[in-house]
Amino acid sequence: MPTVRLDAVVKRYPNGTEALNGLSFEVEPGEFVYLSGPSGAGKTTLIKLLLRMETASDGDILVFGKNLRALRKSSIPYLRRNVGVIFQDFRLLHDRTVYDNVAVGLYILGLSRREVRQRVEGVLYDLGIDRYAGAYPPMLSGGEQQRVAVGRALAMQPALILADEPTGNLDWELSSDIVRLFESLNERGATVLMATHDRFLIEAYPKRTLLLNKGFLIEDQRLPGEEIEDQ
Amino acid sequence: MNEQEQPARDPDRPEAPASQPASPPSGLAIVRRAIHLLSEGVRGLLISPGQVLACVASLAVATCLVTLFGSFGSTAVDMLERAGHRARVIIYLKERVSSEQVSELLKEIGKRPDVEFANYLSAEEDRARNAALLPPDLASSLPPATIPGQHCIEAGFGDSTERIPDVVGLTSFLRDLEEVEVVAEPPVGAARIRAASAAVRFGRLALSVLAALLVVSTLFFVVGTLTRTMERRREEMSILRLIGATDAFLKTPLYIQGILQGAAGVLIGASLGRFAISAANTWLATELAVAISLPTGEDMLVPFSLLAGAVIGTLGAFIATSRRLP
Repeated sequence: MPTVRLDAVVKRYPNGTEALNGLSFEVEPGEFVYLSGPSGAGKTTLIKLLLRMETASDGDILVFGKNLRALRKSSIPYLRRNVGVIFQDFRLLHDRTVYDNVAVGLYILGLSRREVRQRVEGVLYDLGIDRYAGAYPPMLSGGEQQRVAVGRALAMQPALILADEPTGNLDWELSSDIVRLFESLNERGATVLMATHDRFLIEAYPKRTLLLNKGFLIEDQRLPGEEIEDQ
Repeated sequence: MNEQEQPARDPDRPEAPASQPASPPSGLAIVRRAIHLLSEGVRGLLISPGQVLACVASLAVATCLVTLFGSFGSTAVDMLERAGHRARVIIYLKERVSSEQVSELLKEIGKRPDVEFANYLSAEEDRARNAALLPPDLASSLPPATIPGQHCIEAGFGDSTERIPDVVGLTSFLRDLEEVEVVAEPPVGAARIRAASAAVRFGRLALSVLAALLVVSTLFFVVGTLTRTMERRREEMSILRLIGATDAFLKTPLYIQGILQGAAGVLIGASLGRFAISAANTWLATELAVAISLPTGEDMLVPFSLLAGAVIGTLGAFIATSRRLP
């Protein structure tokens, strides 16, 4: 069962703009996939649809085999608990410490303080930001803040990671660090769907790439090995 | 993630539990979540401390006024009503009035709906009644013959009488009767007492409505404070939503904050009211030999205040979260 499956998905806004036009693709468990394309291609809209922040105008979206169209509103939080999401602007809580930012999702899961502490400390250590546990996000660099955002997603141990331009505000070195981090998560079994318009990054760390433009899926570029596997 | 696929662990790395809780929360998870939400609710109070204090103060003032209005109003109405109901009319009869005529008179007076009882008293019984009204030492020192006594009818308005006694109508009716010599009016004027009682009752109603409006207006303070909290935490709430927070998870701290504010405000107000009544009672007991009592009673003041505060807080949180939750 694919982790993500889109079937002729259309997203049309009330003003008539079609952000996505008949998008169809599948992402298998354990895959690392780039969503690429220029601004306005529909990458962010797609991420929003996968998180059920918005609903598709037409077509079906299945995440973990569940059709998001049929998903009850009360079930959406339970879907999101299995999807780690990382944004370009980090979306951190500036009045909470790094530790609390990473722990916030674990309180939703109802873990004990001991479990929360163990998981957060483990994640902060893995990301190399354990020394900043008591610091507040504004005290950190952009790369460190993005690591905190990644940590928040990782602490939930999600099966799917959605990253919307996570390197958009970072320099090349930090961007590379973030992609390598996602690679290590992917190696541990997480499915990663990362939206980026950075062609250099994609070339440096080549993966299957879904190229979008004006809401259309222009190309599904697979790595040579993957193409052989498909055949 | 699949733990088996993870690389060998660094010995320095803190050990993290591998298991992910299932979607349906366990009982223990609910308790942990409740503790977390309680702390978040308390944290909400610190987001806009000035506004929270203003809200609690306004609730306290409103509750204090409600307590005072209720206590003083109830006591005043109670005193006046009891005085009004205890009014007596004494109908002194001419000497020659026969027992048959007395029976007729008793029937006539007894027909009036505001009169609860009408008793005939002989001259001796009247003398004894008069003697009982005198201070005991004076009554015992006087020769019995010096205490006046005349056969009469005593008409009274009992506590169960709902109608306002028409004392003026009754006395006019009795004075026109041939058998009647004198009609003694109530010593403090029952009609005036009844009128005053009605006025106090109306005043109490008006003040209670005013106090209720005051309490309702404080509800908007609660809504305002919670709305402010939501605005300050809007970004946080939208992030929590994205990582799997349910509506209940977002709303519960706001309800807790509202209930804490409401309970604190009402409890402080009721306590202030009780303090004011206690101080007033010290003076009233010596000057007027009366005591004001709390509408809820002493024992129920704290539980009733907490309940009322919780209701106000819950209503405020319901209104705020229904309209503004991100």
